[in-house]
Amino acid sequence: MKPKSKHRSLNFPFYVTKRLGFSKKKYWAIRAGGILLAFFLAGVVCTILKPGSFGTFFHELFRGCFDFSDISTVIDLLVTFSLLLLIAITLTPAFKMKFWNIGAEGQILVGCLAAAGIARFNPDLPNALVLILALLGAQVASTIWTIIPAIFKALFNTNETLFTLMMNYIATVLSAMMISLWVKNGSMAFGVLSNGIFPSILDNTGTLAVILAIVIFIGMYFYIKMGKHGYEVSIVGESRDTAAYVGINANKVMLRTMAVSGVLFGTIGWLIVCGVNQSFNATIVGGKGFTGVLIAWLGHFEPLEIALFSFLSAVMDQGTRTAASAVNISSTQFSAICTGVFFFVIIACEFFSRYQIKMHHKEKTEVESL
Amino acid sequence: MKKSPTILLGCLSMAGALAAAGCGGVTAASYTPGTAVKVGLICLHDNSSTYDKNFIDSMGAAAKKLGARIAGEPIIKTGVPESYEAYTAAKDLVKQGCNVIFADSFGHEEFMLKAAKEWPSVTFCHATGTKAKIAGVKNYHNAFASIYEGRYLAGYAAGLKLQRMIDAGQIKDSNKRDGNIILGYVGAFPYAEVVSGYTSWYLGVKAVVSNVVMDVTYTSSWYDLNAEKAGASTLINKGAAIISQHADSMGAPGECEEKNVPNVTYNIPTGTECPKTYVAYSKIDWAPYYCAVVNSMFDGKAIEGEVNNNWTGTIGTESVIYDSANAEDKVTLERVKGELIARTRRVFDCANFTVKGQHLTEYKADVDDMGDYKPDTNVIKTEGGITFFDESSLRSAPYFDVRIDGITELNANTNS
Repeated sequence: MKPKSKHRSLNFPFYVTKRLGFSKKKYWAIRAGGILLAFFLAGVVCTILKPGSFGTFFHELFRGCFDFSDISTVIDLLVTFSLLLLIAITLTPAFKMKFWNIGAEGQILVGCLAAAGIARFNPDLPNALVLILALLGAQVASTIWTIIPAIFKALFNTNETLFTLMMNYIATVLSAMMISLWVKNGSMAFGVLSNGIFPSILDNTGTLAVILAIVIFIGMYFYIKMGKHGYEVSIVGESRDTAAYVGINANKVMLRTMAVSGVLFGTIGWLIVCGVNQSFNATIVGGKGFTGVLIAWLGHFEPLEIALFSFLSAVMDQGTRTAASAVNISSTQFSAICTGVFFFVIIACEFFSRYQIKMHHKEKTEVESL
Repeated sequence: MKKSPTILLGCLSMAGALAAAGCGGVTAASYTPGTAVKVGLICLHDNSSTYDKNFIDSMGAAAKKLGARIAGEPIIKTGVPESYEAYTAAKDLVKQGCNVIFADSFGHEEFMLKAAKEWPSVTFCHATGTKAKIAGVKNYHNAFASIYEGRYLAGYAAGLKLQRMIDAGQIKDSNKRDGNIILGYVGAFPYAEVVSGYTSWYLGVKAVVSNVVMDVTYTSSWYDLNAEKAGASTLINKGAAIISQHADSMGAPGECEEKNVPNVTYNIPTGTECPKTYVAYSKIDWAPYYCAVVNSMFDGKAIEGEVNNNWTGTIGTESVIYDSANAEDKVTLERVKGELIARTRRVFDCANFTVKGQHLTEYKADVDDMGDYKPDTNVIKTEGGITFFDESSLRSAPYFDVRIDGITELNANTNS
C-alpha cells in the first residue's frame, strides 16, 4: 500500500493501468503505424539536418537496401538481418527461463577472437580444415564465456544481468590485448585473413554466412517450439518451484541452456570473422549483441516476430547509412539516431498497447467535495 | 503458429530467388582524361575528430581550388570502421561513379587494396598506408607527409616557450628528474607513426633546451577523449612542464588548459579553446595531395611527385603546416624551417640523439611491409656532412621506430 500513498503525495494527475481485452488486430495495427512513424521521423531528422532532403532520404534508404542491380547490396542487408536474427533467437531460451543474459556482445566477441586467432596462425593448412578448427575454437571460447555467469548463478546465486554485462567489457579488453600482442608493429590493425575464409557465392563470402545463419535459425525454431528442452525451459521460466515439483533440475536446465547459447554464439562469431569480415577488431560485433537483446524482447521471444524486427532494424541501419552519405550528412551519429528513434517508437507502442494512462477523476472530485 | 515453418521456408526460398535474380557485381566507371573527376573520401570518424576534420577540411579546400575539374561535390563517407565496412564503403563510392577514392585511416588499407584489385579503372589513394610500394597494384597508392618536420618545428616553438619559463623561474623542482626538465606526450599506439612523431617533437624541444627528458603514455585508440584527458593528467602529475599529443580529440589540450600546463597541438590550433596554454601546432595539409592527384588524372599523367606509388608531401610542397602563438618566435621558426628545406639541418641527425648511449651508424627498419614485421632496409644515410635517419623517403609512411635515450614509455606493455 505504501507506494500508492507515496504516488499520491507526489500528486500525479494520472495513473497507469494494464489494458484488458486488447484485440490482436488493433495491437498489430498500432505496431504497423509505429513502424511507419519511425521511418517518417527518420526522414524528418534527415530533413532537419539537410533541408529539402526528405524525398532523397527515402529514395536512398531504399537504394541502400534493395538495389537489385547490385546484388551485393542485398546480400549485405541479409547479412545484418540474419546475424541479428540468429543472435536474438539464441538469446531467447535464456530469456524464456528468465535468465537475463545481456552479454551476447562479449560472448560473440570471444568467439570471433578465437576464430581470428586460429585462422591467423594457420596460414598453411587447407582452408576447409582451418574453417573447421576455427568453428570449434570459437564454440569452445564462447561456451566458456557464456557458462561462467551461469555457474556462478547456480552456485552462489549471483545476479546474471550484472555479471554478463561486466563480461562484455572484459571481452573487449581481452580482444584489444590479443591484437596488440599479435600485431607486432603496434598499429593495432589486424589486417585481412589469408586463410580460413568462406567460399564466395554470388561473388560474396557473406552469402554462405546468411544461408548458414538462416538454417541454424530454423533449427533453433524447432528446438524452442517442439523439443523437450524448450518445454523444460518454459517451465523453469514460469516457476522454479513448479519445475522442482515435476522433477526438473532448474540449475541443470540453466547450465545446459547457456551452454547451447554459447555454442551458437561461437558459431555466430565464426560467421562474422570467417564469413563476413575476414578480419578482426575489438568492436567487430558492432553492438549487434545489444540490439539482439532488444529485438528478442520486442519480438516477445516469438521467432517470426524476431525475424520481422531483425529485418526492419537491418533496413534502418543500412538504409540510413547510405542516405547519410548521399545527402552529405557527415556525422557518424545519424544512423545511430535513426535506429534509436526506431526502437524508441516501437517500445512506446509496446508500452501503450500493454498499459493505459488514466486520469484521477474520481479522487479529484473527492478532494473537491472535502 | 503451425504455419510458421512453412512461412519461414517460403521466406528462405524467396531470398534464394532474389539472390539468383541478381546479376553480379558492381561495374566501375572508366575515366577519360580531360573530363571532370568524381571524388570520394572515406573517413574513420567525423568532424568531431581533429584528425578526420583535417582531411574533410583539406578536401573542401582542394575542391575549391580544383573548381570545374571536380564533378559535383566530393562524396564523403564518415564513421567507416577499419573493417570489412571500409570495403563496402569503397564499393558504394565506385557504384556512385567515383573515379578516385581516398581513405584516411591506417586500418582501411587492406580493404582499399582489395577494392583496388577489384576495380582497376578507379584510382585508390590511401593515406598513412605502407603496402603500395610492394603490392604491385597499379591503381593503388599511398601518401603521407613529412610531418616529423612540422612536429620538430612545433617542438622548437615549445623549446622557446620552455626557455622563457626557465628564465621566469616557473620551472619547479617537481618539473625535474635528475636535473632534467620533464616533457609529456600522449600517443595513440606504440607504432612507428607515433614514435616518429614524438621523437621529432622531443628533438625539436631539445634543440633549444638541452636538458630535457620525456614521458610518453599511450591511449590505445586514435580517438578517445577520456583516455587522452587521463593520459595528460598522468603526465602532469609526473611533473611534465609542457605537453604535446598524437591523438585526435580535445582531451589532452582541455586537461592542460584546466591545469595550466602549456600544450602543443596536432591538426588544429587551439588558440580560441585554450587561450592560456596554447603554444604551437603542426598538421598535414592534404589539399596539395588531393590537387596533385586530380590534376594528374585530368591531364592524363602519372601522379606528379610519386615514387613507387608513394607520395610524400613536405614543408616545400606546403603539405606540412605549423604555427606558433608567439609572434616573436615566428622569425626564429622561419629560419629553422629554411634550414630544414635547405637540408643543412636534419630532424633525425644522429649526432643529436643516442640509443643505449651510442650514436646510430646503421639501423634496419621495416620499410617493405610484407606482413612479417621484419626490418629489411638500412635507413641511416650521410649527406652534406650529416649522418641522419632517412625518414619517409623510401616510402611515404613513417618507419622511424627507434626508442632513443631520454624518452620513457610509461605504458608500452607490448612487444617493443
